Amino acid sequence: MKPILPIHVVGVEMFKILVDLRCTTVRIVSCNDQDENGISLRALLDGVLIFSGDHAGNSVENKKVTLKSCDDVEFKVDIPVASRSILLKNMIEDVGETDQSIPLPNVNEKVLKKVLEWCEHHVNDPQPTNDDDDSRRRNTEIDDWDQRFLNVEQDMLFEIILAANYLDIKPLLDIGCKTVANMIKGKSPEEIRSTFNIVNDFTPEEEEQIRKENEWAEDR
Amino acid sequence: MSSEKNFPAQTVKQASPSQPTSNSLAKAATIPSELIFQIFKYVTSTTDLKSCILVCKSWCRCGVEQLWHKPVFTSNQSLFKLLFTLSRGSQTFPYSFLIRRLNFSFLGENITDQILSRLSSCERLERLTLGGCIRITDTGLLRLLEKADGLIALDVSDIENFTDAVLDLVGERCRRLQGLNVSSCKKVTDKGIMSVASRCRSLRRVLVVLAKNCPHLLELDLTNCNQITNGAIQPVFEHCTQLRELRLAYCTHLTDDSFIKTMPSIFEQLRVLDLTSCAHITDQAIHKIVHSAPKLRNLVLAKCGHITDEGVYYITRLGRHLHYLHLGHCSLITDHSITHLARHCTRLRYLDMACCTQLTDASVFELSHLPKLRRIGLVKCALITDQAIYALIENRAAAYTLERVHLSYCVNLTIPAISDLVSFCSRLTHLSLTGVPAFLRPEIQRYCRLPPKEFTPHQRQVFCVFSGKGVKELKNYLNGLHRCRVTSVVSNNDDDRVVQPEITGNADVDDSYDNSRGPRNIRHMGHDESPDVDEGGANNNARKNNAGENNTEENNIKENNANENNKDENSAVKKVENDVDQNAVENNDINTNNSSNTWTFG
Repeated sequence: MKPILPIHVVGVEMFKILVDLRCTTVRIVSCNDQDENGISLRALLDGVLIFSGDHAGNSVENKKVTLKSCDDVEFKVDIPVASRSILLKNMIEDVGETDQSIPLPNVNEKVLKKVLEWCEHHVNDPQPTNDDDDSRRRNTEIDDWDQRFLNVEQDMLFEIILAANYLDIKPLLDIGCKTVANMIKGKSPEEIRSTFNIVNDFTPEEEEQIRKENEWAEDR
Repeated sequence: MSSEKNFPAQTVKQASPSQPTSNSLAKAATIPSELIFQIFKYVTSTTDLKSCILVCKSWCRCGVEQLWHKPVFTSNQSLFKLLFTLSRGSQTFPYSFLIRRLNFSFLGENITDQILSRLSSCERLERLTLGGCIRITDTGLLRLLEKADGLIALDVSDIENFTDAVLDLVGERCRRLQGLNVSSCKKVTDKGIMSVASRCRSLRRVLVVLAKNCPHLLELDLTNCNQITNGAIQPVFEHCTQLRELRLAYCTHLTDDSFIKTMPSIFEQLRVLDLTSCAHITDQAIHKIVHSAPKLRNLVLAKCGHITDEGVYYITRLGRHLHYLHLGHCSLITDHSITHLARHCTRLRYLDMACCTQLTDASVFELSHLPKLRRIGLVKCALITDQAIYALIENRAAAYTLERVHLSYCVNLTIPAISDLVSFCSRLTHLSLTGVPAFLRPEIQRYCRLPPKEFTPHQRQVFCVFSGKGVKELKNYLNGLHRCRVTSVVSNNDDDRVVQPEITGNADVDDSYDNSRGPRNIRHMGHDESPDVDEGGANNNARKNNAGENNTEENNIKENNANENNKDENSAVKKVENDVDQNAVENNDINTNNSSNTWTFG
């Protein structure tokens, strides 16, 4: 018997028992004497015995979810990989087990494939928390793999940023934005326009006034 | 100031995708503004950001706020360029509203009052750093801070020319202030600091600088600075060894460690310590405090609910130094420690034990021997009986000194005992009997003060506080009622104390009156045979009263002084201290003590 159990609350004592039961793989989400509903380890153990009988081998790791791009291409993805996207994570949690595919009307096949590649590579990263917003901002470094990953055509880069924003994958959004910011560095307004193919929609008067009003701004 | 130009006002969230471009549609131009905003967060250079806002209208709208959020000036020249923009008639954006942080410490003495005045339109300023801008005076600061309601941090260190007027304004306007650096500001006095500390409840970081730079600080009032933690109080103990008064009321994060770990072992100038509602404090902190400050005169521990008899035993080590002790809501305290207290702290003038519900007559017996006791608070000490009152007056000392007696919700008290109290305590100016059933009768309540306007009908019904003239009128009324009884007490004959027939015989007395005092009479006449019945009755009454008015402290305030405003309360507290001081010298002036009843906490 090799049950892989999604145990949410496991105490030390219970862990020993699971070992006795030859449960070789246990995914420990958190470890406590009681779970949030006040259910003791003993009660949990009873649950496990039943659970292991019914669902042995049917773990989160092995479960897949089907994503459908806007151009109707389906991707079968491990749930932990898809869960890098907070949007998908919440959807999966809300819907529960389903064979139906999740349509993603804002992402095409090419971009979705690329985004899932990133998710797969980062599947074991810790989930970002809200309070490290500032530390992320201060750090403009991008690690090597991500740099290579984002070494794509400019349109693709912006597509990835848009998808990361839509799917709510903060770390991917961050590195995308950093990459664009790096492309801005040291350029004049005209150079920026030509880099990103942006049309100057200021009238000459407007542009001149903005220039004057912000003339004070210079680097230390 | 706002522009007639239409471009900043446009509500377009996204650069129009229909813009004709040379080749294909530019992906960058289709990015929604929230993402451009995200990208700009990583554009850290001011020059780069300035280039960005000149790219196109949508980029401009996204970047301008970030550019102006925290303008940095490397030279006078760039500052003057910014001031020029702010003074322009038609600006593309309302720039002065975009400025949230200003740091002039790099420009130091180049900054003048005139420059600050020109920045007075920056109403949304959150952080202002003027450290070392030594030419600045009140004029500039007052102008700049006039509208800065949202200020969170202010650094005016090393500016020698500004006065308390600035801190008054800060206290008045900047209620969200968390940090204040006034180190080396030589004209700032206690008054200015108090003004800030008493009103800016979020203040966190002022203390450290204050403590380090003012080692001779004598009084420190941090009442209501509930953000203050052990770490913040440490420098105070470390540097301000001359401190005479320390008020930490409602600094609810303080724990024993504040005292045990950081209070120096010698802190002997301390005379006044207020720890109201520092609810984490335990006996161990008291032990340390008494050890370090053996000459403590006023100690307020109201609502420090962990304090037990052990803590009070430590307090008794203060001996004759202790004049003023507030133990309200320290409900773990029992007769044992109060007895000890009464025998050792013989100079006690003021004692409050409101809601110390375990206390019985035994405590009052002991306290009645205190030769200087002026004020005793026993609100909601429901076990107290007439015997306690008789003890107070039989001991001549207390009878001569008592001025204010708080007996509200001591539900067992009866008319004969109080009648004697008002007759024999010639200095009595205040007597509270709110919620004492025996006195809730129209013919008695007509002598009491008017209940405060904000009281509910039920609160009005049980309100029974006599002060000044009211006490005299009550005395005359009760004397007339029980003339023959008074003589019997003078002759000290216990059996005659309760003259049941006379009271019930009075046409004014109704049934409820009789019922409420029934158990006491039985006890008096039968001499102590059923204390159980008695206590049960008292508790029931107490509960009933509790349901109607769940906060004694509140009632205390309302009873004593309708004015609940914090500021006034604080000033009243100050006044009490002065009064106590004066009275310590000239012991006989009743009138100076008029305000002492405002010494309560809400």
